[in-house]
Amino acid sequence: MNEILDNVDLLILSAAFLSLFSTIFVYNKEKKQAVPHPEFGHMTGPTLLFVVLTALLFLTWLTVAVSYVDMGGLNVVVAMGVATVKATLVSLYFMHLRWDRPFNSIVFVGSLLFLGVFLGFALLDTAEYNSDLLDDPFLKINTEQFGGEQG
Amino acid sequence: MSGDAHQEQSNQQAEHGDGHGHSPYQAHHFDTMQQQFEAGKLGMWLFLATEVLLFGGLFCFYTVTKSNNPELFKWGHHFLDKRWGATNTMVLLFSSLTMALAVREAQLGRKNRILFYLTVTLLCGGGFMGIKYIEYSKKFHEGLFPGQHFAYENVIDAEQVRDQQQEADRLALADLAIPAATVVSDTPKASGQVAQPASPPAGLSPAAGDLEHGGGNSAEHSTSGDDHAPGLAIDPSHLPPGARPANAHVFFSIYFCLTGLHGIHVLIGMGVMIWLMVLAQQGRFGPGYFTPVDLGGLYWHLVDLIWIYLFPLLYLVE
Amino acid sequence: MSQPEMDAQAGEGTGVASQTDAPVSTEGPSYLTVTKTFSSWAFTLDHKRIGVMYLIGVLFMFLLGGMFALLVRTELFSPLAILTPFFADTAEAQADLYNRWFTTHGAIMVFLVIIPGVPAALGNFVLPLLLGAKDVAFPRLNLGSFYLWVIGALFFVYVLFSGGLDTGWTFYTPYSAESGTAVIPALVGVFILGFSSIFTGLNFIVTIHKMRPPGMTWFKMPLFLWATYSTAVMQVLATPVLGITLLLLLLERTLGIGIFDPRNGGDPVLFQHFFWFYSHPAVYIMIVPPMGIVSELIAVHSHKRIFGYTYIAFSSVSIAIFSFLVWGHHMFTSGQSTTMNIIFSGITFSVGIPSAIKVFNWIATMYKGALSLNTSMLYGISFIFLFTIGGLTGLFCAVLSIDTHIHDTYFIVAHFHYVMMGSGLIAFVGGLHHWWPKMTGKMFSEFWGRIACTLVFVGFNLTFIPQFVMGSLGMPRRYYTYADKFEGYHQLSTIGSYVMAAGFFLTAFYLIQSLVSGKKAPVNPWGGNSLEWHTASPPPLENFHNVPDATDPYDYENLEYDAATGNYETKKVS
Repeated sequence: MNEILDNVDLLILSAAFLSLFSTIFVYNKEKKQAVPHPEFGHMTGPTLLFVVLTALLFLTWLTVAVSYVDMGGLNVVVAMGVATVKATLVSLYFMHLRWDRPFNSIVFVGSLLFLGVFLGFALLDTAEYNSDLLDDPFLKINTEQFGGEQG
Repeated sequence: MSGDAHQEQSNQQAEHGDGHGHSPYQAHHFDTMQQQFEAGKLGMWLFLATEVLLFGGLFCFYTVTKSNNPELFKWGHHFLDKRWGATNTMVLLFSSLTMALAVREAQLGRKNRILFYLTVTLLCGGGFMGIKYIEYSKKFHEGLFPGQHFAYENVIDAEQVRDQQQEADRLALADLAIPAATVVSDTPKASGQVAQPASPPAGLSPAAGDLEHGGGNSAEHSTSGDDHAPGLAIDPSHLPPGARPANAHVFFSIYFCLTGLHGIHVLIGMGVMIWLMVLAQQGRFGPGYFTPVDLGGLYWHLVDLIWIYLFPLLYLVE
Repeated sequence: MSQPEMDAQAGEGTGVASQTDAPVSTEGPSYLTVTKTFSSWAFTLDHKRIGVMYLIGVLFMFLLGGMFALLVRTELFSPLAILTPFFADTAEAQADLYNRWFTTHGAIMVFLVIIPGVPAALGNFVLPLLLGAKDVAFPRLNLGSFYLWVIGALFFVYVLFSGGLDTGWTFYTPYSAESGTAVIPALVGVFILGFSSIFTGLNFIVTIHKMRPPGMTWFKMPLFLWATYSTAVMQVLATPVLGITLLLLLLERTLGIGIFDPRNGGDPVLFQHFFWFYSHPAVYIMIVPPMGIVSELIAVHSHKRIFGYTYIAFSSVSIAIFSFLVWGHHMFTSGQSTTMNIIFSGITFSVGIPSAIKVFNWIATMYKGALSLNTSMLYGISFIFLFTIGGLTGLFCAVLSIDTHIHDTYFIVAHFHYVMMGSGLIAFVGGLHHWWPKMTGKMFSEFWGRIACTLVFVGFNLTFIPQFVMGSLGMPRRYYTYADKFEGYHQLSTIGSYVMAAGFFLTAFYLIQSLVSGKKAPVNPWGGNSLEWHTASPPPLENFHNVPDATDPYDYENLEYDAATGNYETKKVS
């Protein structure tokens, strides 16, 4: 078990390839069938769903693989970027947002925007007074004035 | 205005639909099934928006702590096993696929296939929770609880053993006067492993025992992890390098709050699956009525979506 | 959609729409009489019954919260202990009892009265009627949110009986993490109430989006719907953050997770960020729906088209959006960083713009209108007067330098009572009178109504104007006792609160009396033209026997008063 886990990146990669092969299989099967329509709403074809899963698995592999490389501050950016691409895929295709009424997307994106406001303002504030607390401004002035002269 | 376009559409549908009679699932206050479906869908999306903001509070906790006390995360993330995290990600992604397929089958009204896909989704949810159980029980075993229950003494004990080993190691290297070449070849290897957060925390400190045994394979030795002092909850070789920051328990508070709330959502989602399976068993779903499966699916995908962010934030980012 | 298309569509109708000028059928049982068993009320899915049940609950909680307000005011009549010695022996226990009284007053009034008051009680009753719909989009969810409210209220009753709560309604850390009072049941109660509020808001958004009748575009909706819609957006987006805040506080208190309590490595100012991210929008959740009510009251009772419809509609929406950007003005003196103080202060001023737009439009609506100075209109005018004072004093508080002086003084207390109570509750009572005939089918006594309104108005100002003065002189809020120089102000304030209480008790008496022996209400007693005045009073179970076409809700030209029936009827075209 531990050995399989130690190679989890390979595990993900093989799952991704498995999904890719399934996609081809499903595509061949779907091609022969007539496309049904529901009375309302959108029906997504299985091929597309498998393509999305394949992409998601490859992205997962990517984000895990990248995490083994130390890129400093860039690691967070890459991890969040990949996560956002994955989240977009899930919401557009699995959650049907691509074919849904635009207002549903507005609701969802709107909630993220308000979350951004919340995070942003709270962060902006705490970051500032946290540094105030850590570096007493009076002490800071002193070190700048006297430390500078001595240095 | 999208609402107006919709109304026009639904009116046409109403006139068109009168000939077919009402679906047995149509509520009295809606004009058409389409109106009912879209109302349900908008309602679900609004609910998902509230879920985003509910988790938002926890993400804020995470972000504020991480930006103001990054050392907590540098230290704490060594205790999380990204291998399990990655496995769980795969499980959830796969369950999202089966959920989407279940929605499709509900739209086609194929009862057995709906049940099959829902069952697979439910099992994936169960698997996810099983892996969470493994991870949690390891943490609890090591005393890494959130908040005041955090067993600092466990960590401190392990730290003492680690420091003793490092000290003994250093002295041994100096005393034995090992040829310079060996020292040079050994040290970069060890320090390289320290810098790599990803590698299972093996051989962070070439344990003193290795040298006593004549310098055996240190990596193999510490993965076996059996030889640490009896009564020690945490394997000292699993400890993160570097000093423990103040209030180390806050990292585990964040970890347990985020994954705990997410886990509760997975459990609720599994309950929804069972409810949907009962409805499907009764043969309720078909091209004219599949709203519950669709909405349950949206909920399940949101749970997946939140995990997509939780996984890198907790397990991968340092 | 363009106008001709709209008209064509309205003309086609859905096949059940009748002509607006056909007489409204008042035959058949109303929603009140269609079934009479207890379970038909307890498990009803009818929005009107749920609204009525909410109303009863809210009014009961208003009574309870009001009693605590009177206790607090009576205690402050003199700097010496007056009431508390009857309940506690030592001086500390007496002072602590006072803390519990004002906390209970605040928490009940905010979470159980004002927030659900207009949207859940009046809104539930009126919203589908205004839309010409049979019900809200999710009737079961609606009943569910009512029962969540009941459960939350029961938690508060439990808090009362298990020693009370002394943290203030804001639950500020670190005190709330260590207070020996019943903080946890109160947190759970507020958490549940939050979900009740979320589900109500969600229901209303979907209803307004998906269930507008043919012919009613967004800009033909009555303004109360715009206000409810904006409120619902805030309820849906802000309340979850309150939920998680309370959950985290609960964990901080039980497990010490180290987020809000500095002893565990937490940050108490972060709690205030979390709390006010919800609670500032919550302030607007309390005030925007009353603004919507006032838009209806002023237009109907002035018998004149509302002035600046679009501006009022958009000002509601912009207040909703601004409400998310100004929470930091509660924290100017809490250790918030200077940068954020300046940003929040600046944005706070801009909230004055949409608020002022509303006030100007209401006044312009009354200008040259044919004002009926009946009870609801008097409440409407009181609202404008009191809201202007409350709003303008809010601008004082937004100035950083002045806020440093008046923060946590009676000036703030007076300011938010002018907004929450003088505006929010007064409009709620006004709306209650406005829709009372529609809800109950009975007319109340206008004579006593006007007297009660006058008492409330005079009593309110007598209570809170002295608080402005003593606040600016430095009287801190939440103090059990005070310096002798403030005694006169406090006594005036206490007397004012008694006058106000007399007004509210009088209101209760004549409203109950109207239920027993009131005159039967006509279909349209005030001369409104929105859809709820096109159905019987009280309405039948599914609201309309014949769904009327959605016409311009503010077109009063075709209405004519019939003195014999007390009803406004459509003019016969000769």
